[in-house]
Amino acid sequence: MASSWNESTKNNNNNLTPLLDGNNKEDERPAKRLRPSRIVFLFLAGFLAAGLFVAFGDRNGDCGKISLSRYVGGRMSSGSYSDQPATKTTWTSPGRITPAEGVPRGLAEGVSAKSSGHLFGKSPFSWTNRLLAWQRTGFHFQPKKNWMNDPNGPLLYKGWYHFFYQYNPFGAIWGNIVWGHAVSKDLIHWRHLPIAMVPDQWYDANGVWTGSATILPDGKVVMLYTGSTNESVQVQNLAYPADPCDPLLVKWVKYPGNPVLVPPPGIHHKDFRDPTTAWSTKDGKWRITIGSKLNKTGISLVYDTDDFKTYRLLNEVLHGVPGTGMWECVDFYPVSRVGENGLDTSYNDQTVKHVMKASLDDDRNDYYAIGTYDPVQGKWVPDDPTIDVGIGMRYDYGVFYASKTFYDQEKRRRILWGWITETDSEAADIAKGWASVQGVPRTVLLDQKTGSNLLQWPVEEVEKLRLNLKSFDNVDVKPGSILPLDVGSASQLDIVAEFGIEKEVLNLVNGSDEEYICSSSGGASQRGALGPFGLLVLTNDDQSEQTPVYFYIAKGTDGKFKTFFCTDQSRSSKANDVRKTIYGSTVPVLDGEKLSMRILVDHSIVEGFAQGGRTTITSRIYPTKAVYDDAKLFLFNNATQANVNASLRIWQMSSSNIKV
Amino acid sequence: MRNSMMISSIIAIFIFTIIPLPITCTSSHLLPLKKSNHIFMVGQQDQQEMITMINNNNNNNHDLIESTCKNTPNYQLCITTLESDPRSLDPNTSVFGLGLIVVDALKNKATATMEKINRLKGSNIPDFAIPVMECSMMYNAILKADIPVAIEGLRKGVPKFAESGMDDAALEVQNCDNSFKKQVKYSPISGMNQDVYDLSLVAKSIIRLLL
Repeated sequence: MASSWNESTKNNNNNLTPLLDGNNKEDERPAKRLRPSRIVFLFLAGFLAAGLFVAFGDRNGDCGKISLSRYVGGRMSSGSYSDQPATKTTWTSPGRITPAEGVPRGLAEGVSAKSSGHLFGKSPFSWTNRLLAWQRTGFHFQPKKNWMNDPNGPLLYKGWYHFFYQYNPFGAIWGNIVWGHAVSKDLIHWRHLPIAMVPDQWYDANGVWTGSATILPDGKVVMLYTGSTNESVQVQNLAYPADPCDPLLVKWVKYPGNPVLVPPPGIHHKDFRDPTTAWSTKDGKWRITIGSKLNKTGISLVYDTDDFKTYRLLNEVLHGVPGTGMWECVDFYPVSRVGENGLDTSYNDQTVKHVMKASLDDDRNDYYAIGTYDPVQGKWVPDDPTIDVGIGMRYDYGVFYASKTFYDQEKRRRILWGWITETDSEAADIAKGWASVQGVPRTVLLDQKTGSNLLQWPVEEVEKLRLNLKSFDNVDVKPGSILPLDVGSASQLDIVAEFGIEKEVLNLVNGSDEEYICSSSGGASQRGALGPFGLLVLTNDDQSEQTPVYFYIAKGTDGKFKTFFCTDQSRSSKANDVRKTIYGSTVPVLDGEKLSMRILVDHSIVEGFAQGGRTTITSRIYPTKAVYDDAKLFLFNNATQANVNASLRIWQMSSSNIKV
Repeated sequence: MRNSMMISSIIAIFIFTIIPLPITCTSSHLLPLKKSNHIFMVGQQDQQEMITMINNNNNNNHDLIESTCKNTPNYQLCITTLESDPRSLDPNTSVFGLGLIVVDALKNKATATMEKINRLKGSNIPDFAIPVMECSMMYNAILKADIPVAIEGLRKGVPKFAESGMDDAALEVQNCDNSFKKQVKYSPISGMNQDVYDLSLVAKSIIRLLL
């Protein structure tokens, strides 16, 4: 198959149509410093070029016959660089780093708990290959090996879901960042493709960083991404598919006039990254936003463009929140207040709300807020300023960062990808050979019942992996009891559970003014009148290793109830070199609603969704005993007063067999 | 601090008078240059030369060193480490540069510790076999993963990766020490481990100033 791959590469080269005639020479220019005069020149050149601009040629016009078998039938190399344009950079050739140096690593999240634990004096744990091998997931997206971080430029093109990601082809630590690429028909079964973009130009010599795709009305694709220049200046670059007829979009061309955006005056040159998908404005332009900061105020700059090559910076930022620091990976999109579908990024009318998301560099969590977008002013205003971006709601209360949504125009849904980092030690990861997974893609909708939060739910395609349904109906779980659930091997599960509590108990219990906080209120072992209750996942028979995913209901002195959804990692592993935070937050529960949760267990990743996805928690679990056949599932109720009635449907999950 | 504020405002004036604004940008009203610890803007050589000139009036970098170290959990270690490296005193060295200097110091300590571990490997003391092997792995992670990532993260302007590297170094070093204590009740490299641990915390705090 190697020969046919080369053939197709050649064909792609022949089909390559430059964006601007005669500008290809730019490719050959030596790496240059980004000097002020040069910036001005770039802007001027871009401005003038706009007049000459021929809108992306007719690359998408007549695609003729496509031989899918070339790609689909055969095995493709995921590390081939031979098809990359000639470079003048110091980009090292692949394969130079030996496996011993290819050290995968786990990133700490936020103000890390890794170093704050007082481990001096505790016994370390020796990881075996058997244990480490178990940690690899069965139905989550992962490259075959090495380091991965942010999701990039997701899109649906000619029937294929494309997923790009920040990837280090040379090792399992962050560095040498390129764009990994994979395609799928269903968001679950993936096929790895050759690396899409490598740092081969002066404007991305230090890394091809995060970016987003925009599909133009005529179906053409443009990709904007951040390059770290040879002088580590963050600039925005334009790329596009070399062959629009290729549904797999294997080969990418960087616009010869890159960079298309440099940090504006007043913005630090290392605070300007991660352009969004563009949306259209009323006057027919495209608009993007890019995260940055001014002192400690996180902001999102807004640019308008006609052609994705020249841009105008708007006078005002889309939004900013003091004290939130650098905003990475800003995302901005409409959600419907009335409809059941997701919306195209450009959609806007009276029936929508706009979601603004920022990934906070300071604490490495993804925060969002719901608000109203004024397209004339280019401003967004949160519905509730007390839960503004970065100080209010999170997509996920566990490990979940640098996320990005895209609109699936065929199934009319908005899909969210998020990077799930490791929370174990580097030394353990070194032996593993890989670091990071992507969360299961989630649909995102406005919660029309509350109007104040999103609903995130695993894409329906995940359900195709379900096997061997086991149902447990109306199980009474008495206070202080633990019941084993015989579901066979419990390393790959989809669990749907509903819980009911007698009304009388809720009325009888005395209110308290004590504040409950998942992370600091003692976890699953701290008993209250009305909780905790839920499931113990990845738990061995004697429960010496257990990961409770649970609800806790707190009754205030005013008689009002507040429900919490938490994941307690404190007893998840005997090993001391893994993070054992207790994650969680509140979850809105409306009158008459039962408590419900869904949990996806896939080896070292556990994703919990409460109340249809109003609150979610993703955690990474590294057990030493509760693995393989010893990973079991239990139902528990650690409340002191409430009897809990539980109904569960539990499936084994098959693996998605990601092809290389 | 007052000094650096003055410098910043002078630089701001320079930047706004000298650098012509790109005509497609209308941002100058919106985004005034604010005071910042790391003042270098878009890699413009001319501008940097100007900054150098201004800073040269200030003969050393003590103010910056002091204000930086006040943000770390170990002021004394921070000061000692920075002042023992002549690069710290170069007025061109920014907080970012100070971060790199501490990471370098950490690298030296970790390298020395790794050498010591290798010598212990040769000592053929049976009880040392397991902890020496484990420490070797852990220091390998520090030297081959944590420190290179910290340096690259700092250089390329994504300090969050640098911070993660320092978090992990602190973790690895504790695991190494515990490995000895588990096997032989004491750690023959306790002092060295402690030094690496302390330096990783200082480095982490400096890196956080850059987020």
